[in-house]
Amino acid sequence: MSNGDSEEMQTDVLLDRQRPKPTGGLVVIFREAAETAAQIAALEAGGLRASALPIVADLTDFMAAERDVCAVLTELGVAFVPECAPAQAGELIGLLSDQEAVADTRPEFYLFATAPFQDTPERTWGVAAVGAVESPFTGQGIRLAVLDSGLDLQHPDYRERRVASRSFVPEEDVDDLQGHGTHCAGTAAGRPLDSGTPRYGVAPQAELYVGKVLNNRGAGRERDILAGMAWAVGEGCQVISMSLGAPVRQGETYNTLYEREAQAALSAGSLIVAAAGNESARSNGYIAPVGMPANSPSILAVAAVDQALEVAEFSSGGINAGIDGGGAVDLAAPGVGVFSALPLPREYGSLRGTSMACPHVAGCAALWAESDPTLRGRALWDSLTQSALPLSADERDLGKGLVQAPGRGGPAAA
Amino acid sequence: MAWCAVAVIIDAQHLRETAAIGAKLERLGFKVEQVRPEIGAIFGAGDSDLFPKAAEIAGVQDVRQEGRVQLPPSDEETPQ
Repeated sequence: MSNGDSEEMQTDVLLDRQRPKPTGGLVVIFREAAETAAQIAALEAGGLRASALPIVADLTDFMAAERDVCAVLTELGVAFVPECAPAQAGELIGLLSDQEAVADTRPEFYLFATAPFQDTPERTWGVAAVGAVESPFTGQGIRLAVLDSGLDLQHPDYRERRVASRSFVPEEDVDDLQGHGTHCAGTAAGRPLDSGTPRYGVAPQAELYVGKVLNNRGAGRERDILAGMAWAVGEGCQVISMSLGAPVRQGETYNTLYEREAQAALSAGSLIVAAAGNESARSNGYIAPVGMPANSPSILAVAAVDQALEVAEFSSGGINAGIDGGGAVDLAAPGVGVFSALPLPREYGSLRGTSMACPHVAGCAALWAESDPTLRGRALWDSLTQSALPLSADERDLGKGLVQAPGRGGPAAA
Repeated sequence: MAWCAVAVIIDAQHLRETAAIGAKLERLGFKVEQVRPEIGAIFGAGDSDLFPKAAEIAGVQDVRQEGRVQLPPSDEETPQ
């Protein structure tokens, strides 16, 4: 046997193991012209009991209550035959296929969702997963700062929008030539001008404050980032989003200056959220510690999940949790395949990273802040962590779970 | 000897003396560019060989190179 034959056989075995599994039941598809009575008669000719079900939504309850009766979905012209022995199934397929009213009869298979969330023409998967679509709040009246590489003020979605901005980068204005800032601001508070663009902003009515602290090459000095934080607090921003950071070593504590600035922010009623970092290689067993400034005890650290709500491969974890009170992951948010705005001429695009997860939390924070004027600073932090949807992964990786917008019970898969 | 961007952190008990400590750093040879008494930070530039001398000033908690962050290239595959 040649190597080629061996590989082919092995491939077949692997494919075989992955084939869809039959439920043991059958699906009967009727001809379009067949009346309900003819459909039921065809099933009875096969020795089956059948009942018409005009409303598809009743199917689950019906099949649970009537285990031996075929459900005929008259609206769809389809019937489901309950589980039967394999030998009997073969005979039934033959019998039913001979009936005038029947177009096709085939085994029913189990289907599994591979990713419970996906983008739709109406909204991104991330906006849906955090519950922003169903939330009655939009961020109205809440000041949300994004400290990043600036914003493309000529982007169609921002050209007509009032945006407060300031650059802390020497000799560069707030215009974003890098792209990162425009994408993050979009996720937090973007509002598409064109109705044909999906909703991609979690808090589309929030008052956007853009602080440019990273230059057009994506680099930022500590002093400029700290100055940006102080500016946002001074402007009265209730929420400050920082999708930036630097890696730290295992056992390393937080940066005193970021922590002091964050403590002052919380005291002033401003909540700072930051990206946990992307240094993990989880498929190789390596989990990197949360970077700085997200590792500060007074900054809310955000990890990334994918469309299946699993921890993202790259997402940093709470390896240093507990060191001087910092280093933990606090919350998780969508951070894979995140669609948002990008500087022209690209206009839109999808990116991945905890940088994309962070503004989902900032946007949700703006919605919570709008929902209750007493939710500021530490109280806002608590409302976010207490309302999070627990996920299957360890708290070390995803904190209290998936951030949730106010005004709904939990995320709806789509 | 290496000239670099510097961050000096003032301890919590000496925040009010941040500006005065900045003046002492200048006398040591540092270039002071930004003084933030509210968080006890002084930013500037200086010779790394002078760090131990600066750390001996009363009220100085730490002297180190200023931190920087750097985003990766912006593309769909690289985590941001």
